[in-house]
Amino acid sequence: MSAVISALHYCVPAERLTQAELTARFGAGPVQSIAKMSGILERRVAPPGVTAADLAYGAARGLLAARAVDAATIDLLIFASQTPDFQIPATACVLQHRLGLRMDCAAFDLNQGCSAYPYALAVADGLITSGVAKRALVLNADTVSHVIHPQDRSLLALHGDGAAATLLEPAVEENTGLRGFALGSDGSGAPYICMPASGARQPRSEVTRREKSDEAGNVRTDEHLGMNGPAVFHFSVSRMPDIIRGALQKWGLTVEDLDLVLLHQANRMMVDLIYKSLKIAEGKRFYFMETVGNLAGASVAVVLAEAWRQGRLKPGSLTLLVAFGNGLSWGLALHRWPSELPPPVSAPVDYAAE
Amino acid sequence: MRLQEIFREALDLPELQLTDNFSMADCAAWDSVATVQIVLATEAAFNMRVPTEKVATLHCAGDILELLP
Repeated sequence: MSAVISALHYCVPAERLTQAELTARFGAGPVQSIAKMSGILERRVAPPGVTAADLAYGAARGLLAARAVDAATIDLLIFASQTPDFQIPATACVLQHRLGLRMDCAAFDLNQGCSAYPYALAVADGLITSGVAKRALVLNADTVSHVIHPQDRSLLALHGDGAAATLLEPAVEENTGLRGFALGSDGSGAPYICMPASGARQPRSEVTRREKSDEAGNVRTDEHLGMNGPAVFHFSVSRMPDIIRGALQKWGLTVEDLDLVLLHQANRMMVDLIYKSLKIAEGKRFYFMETVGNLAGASVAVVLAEAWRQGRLKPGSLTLLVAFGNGLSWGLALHRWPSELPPPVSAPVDYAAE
Repeated sequence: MRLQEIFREALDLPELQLTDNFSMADCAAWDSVATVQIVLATEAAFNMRVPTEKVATLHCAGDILELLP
C-alpha cells in the first residue's frame, strides 16, 4: 500500500516584479544576462504582510473547496517552508486552527529548502502507509522575496513567492501512488545557500545588519539570503543527473519508463542541461518558471499542479519529481497516477486575502 | 589559447588577452552568469570536471588555469 496524490492546488501573489522594474533598478545589461540563462521574465512576489503561511492557507482553502473535502477528515498537516511565520511555534499548528482542522490532526513544520516537496511527500507517505494518518494535507510554501536584499539582483531576478497544497490518501488501486523516494544531502555545501544570521548560530546584531557588496555589486547583509550562484549551478548540473540515474537503477527503471519528468524550476538553462544529460525526450519535459520565478520549496509542487492543469498528466502514467537546493539537499519522488485520474483543481490561483 | 577563447566568448570581449591574474574585479561583464559559462565551457573543452568547491571560490583566470590537465 502507498499514498496517492488525489488533489493538488497552488496559490501565488497577484503582485508581479517585472523585467522593467529590475532594469530600472539595476540596468539592462545585468538583468538581460540573468534572464538569458534563467528564462525567468516575471516573478510573483508577496507584498509586506502576506506570508508563506497565508499563501499556503489560500492554496489549501482553494483545494478543500474545489473538491468539497470535509476539513474534519484531514488527520495530518505538514507545513514545509523556510520562511515560516514563527520560529516558535510551528506554523503548521497555527494553520491547523485557521483551516478548521480537528484537534487530533497531527501538525508540524518541515524545514527544508527547494527539495522540500519530495521530503514532505515521503513523510506523509510513511505516516499514511504505517496507519498513523489516513488523509494528509501537505503544504509547501515560501516567500523568499522577503529575505532577499532589495539591491541583490542575482537573487531578486530569480525568485518568486508561492504555495501548493497536496492532498494524499491511501491508494486504492494496486501499484499506483508514490512508488519510490531517493533523498540525500551534502552539508559540505551548506554555505552556498545560506542566511547566516537566521538562527542561534549567529544572533542578529548591529554587525549582522551591515551591508556589504560582492564583486558583481550585489548588496546584502548577514540577515539576508545569500547564494553562491556558480557553485549551486555547478552542483545541480554535475551531480543531479548521476543521482537521478542511480535512483532509476535502484528502482529497476530507465528514463524510457517515465512519462513525465519534472525538475525544480530554478533556472531554465540548469533544467535543460539536466534534461539533456539524461536524454529526456522533449515530450516528457515541462516548465513553469517564466512568469512566476523560482518558488523555492513550493517549486516542484507548483510545476506538478500546473502540469495537471494543462492536461499533461495521463491515467496510469509515471511521473518523476526531482528537487534540489540548499543544504545542499536533494529529493526524488516517483508517482504513478491511477487509471481514473481525477480532474485538476481548476480554481483561481491568485492570492486574495479573506 | 582555448581558455582565452572561452573567456572572450563568455565575457563578449573579442580582444581580451588573458593573464593569470585577470579577475572579476577587472571586468564588469564577469558576473556569476559568466562564471557558470566559463566553467561549463572549460569542462567541455578539456573533457574534465571542475570540483564544485573550486567553482565556489573562483575569482581569477589563474584559478581555472591551475586545474587544467
